[in-house]
Amino acid sequence: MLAGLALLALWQLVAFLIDKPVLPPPWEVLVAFVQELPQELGRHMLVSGWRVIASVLVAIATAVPAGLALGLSPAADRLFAPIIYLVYPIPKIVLLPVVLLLLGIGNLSKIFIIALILFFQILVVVRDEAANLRPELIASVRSLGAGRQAILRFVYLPACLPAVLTSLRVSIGTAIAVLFFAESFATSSGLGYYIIVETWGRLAYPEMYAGVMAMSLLGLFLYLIVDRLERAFVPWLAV
Amino acid sequence: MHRLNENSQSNPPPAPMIALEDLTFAYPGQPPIFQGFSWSVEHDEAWAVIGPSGCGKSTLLYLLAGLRQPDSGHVRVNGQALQRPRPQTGLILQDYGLLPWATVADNAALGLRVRRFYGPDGRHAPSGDRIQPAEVEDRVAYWLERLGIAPLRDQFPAQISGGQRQRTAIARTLAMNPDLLLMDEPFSSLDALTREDLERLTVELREETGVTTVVVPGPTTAGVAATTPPRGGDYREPSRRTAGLPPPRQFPRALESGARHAARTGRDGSCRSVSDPSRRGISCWQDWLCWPCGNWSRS
Repeated sequence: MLAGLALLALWQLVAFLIDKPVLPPPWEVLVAFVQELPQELGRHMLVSGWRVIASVLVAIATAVPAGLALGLSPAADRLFAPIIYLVYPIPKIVLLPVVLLLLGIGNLSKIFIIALILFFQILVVVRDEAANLRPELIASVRSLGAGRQAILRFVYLPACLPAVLTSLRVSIGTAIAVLFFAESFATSSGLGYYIIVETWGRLAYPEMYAGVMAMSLLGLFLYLIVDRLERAFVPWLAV
Repeated sequence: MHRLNENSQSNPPPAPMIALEDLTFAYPGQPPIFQGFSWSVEHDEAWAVIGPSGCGKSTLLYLLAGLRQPDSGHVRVNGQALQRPRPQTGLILQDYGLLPWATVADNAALGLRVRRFYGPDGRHAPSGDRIQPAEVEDRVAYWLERLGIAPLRDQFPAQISGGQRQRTAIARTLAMNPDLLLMDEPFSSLDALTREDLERLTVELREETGVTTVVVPGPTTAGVAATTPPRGGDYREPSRRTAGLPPPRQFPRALESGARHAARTGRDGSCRSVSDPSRRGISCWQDWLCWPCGNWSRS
């Protein structure tokens, strides 16, 4: 709260010093934000939010099973580890043109590129988490009668949950940055489109900043959701 | 089999709780730990397995638990050949056996929840009626109370002491009504006082439940001097599975306080077991098996 106020004060100060339309004072932007939100801005925000959340869900649904499979099977890991190491450092965003060509300019290409980036982040942490579980723990749970399914349900899934949430917390910023980039051309909806095409292109500065604000709020909102989930599902790390 | 059992003639049980027959086991690329080994344990007996480190005591328990399979020979528990972990066998390890993300109560309930997960299929869980959630609650509450950790039920393993963690592990195991309890150095990471406390508790619980028990008491620092091998010049540092087996340097406290039982391995690998019938003090274990030579002594 205090940090937010300090940021606003700094903004106000810089805007006052520069005194040009490219940096409107916060009040003007706030007015624009409130005016625009029920109209175009709100719709774009919902579209962007939906795309990020869908990407996150797709990434979790694919990366967690894949990570567990690699973590549980050293043979599979030996096979795939070189591929992962090779692909992991590639900035997946450069594949955007290819993805746009192959999957079109609709939602699918945007969700795909974000999910692809998150996929590797989650895959690697889940795999390491699963591979690093203590053998004593597995042995003692097996001795309670647990077979593969029960071990997955009672040991591996809860064990990798905090790692998944941490990797999400870390990569939400990236996800939104990628979304912004992917939405900034060849589309007609989303906050990236709103900021780049609808406002920046029209020199509508207060509205442009309202878009930036909306994107920041989207990031904050998602961050808070992950935080909530962590508190609900990972209480033992907080103690 | 070359065992000295005076009682078994008068009252022969139908099948021994544990019967190892002609067992051979080796880790890949290493000399065998067991070769043609046979051993049997009757119902309600309690055994301690002692021997130098790396001689296969833990491996023995893992074989008995069904977590490892022998290369040849048979492991029979309660008359059944063991193919997989058996739901009525409880295993307690030195540490790391609890789920770090689950509370004491949830950890204690884990075995029963695994049973519920599978239902009474006779493989992962005993056949019979499906266990109800209320019964899980009741049994867990009973054992947490019995082990004196009921006030800690909502704590996580990282928040409680090592002794309390092992109490949780014991509660989890006993909540499943096991007929065979295997303990692998259960208290060796604890301080001496806590260890004695838990050893005493284990003896009590054994008497209450009558569960057949095999324990690897583990090395303790106490009493090392008392068990120094007789000829100091012959002593060699214990090493993993060397051919000429070194003498066991450290003896479990339970044995030691039970007064002067000793089993030493000579340089030729033969074992001389010495037992003194005038045992006093705390003694958890009625019988012990000196590993690796397979001799035993009984009280």
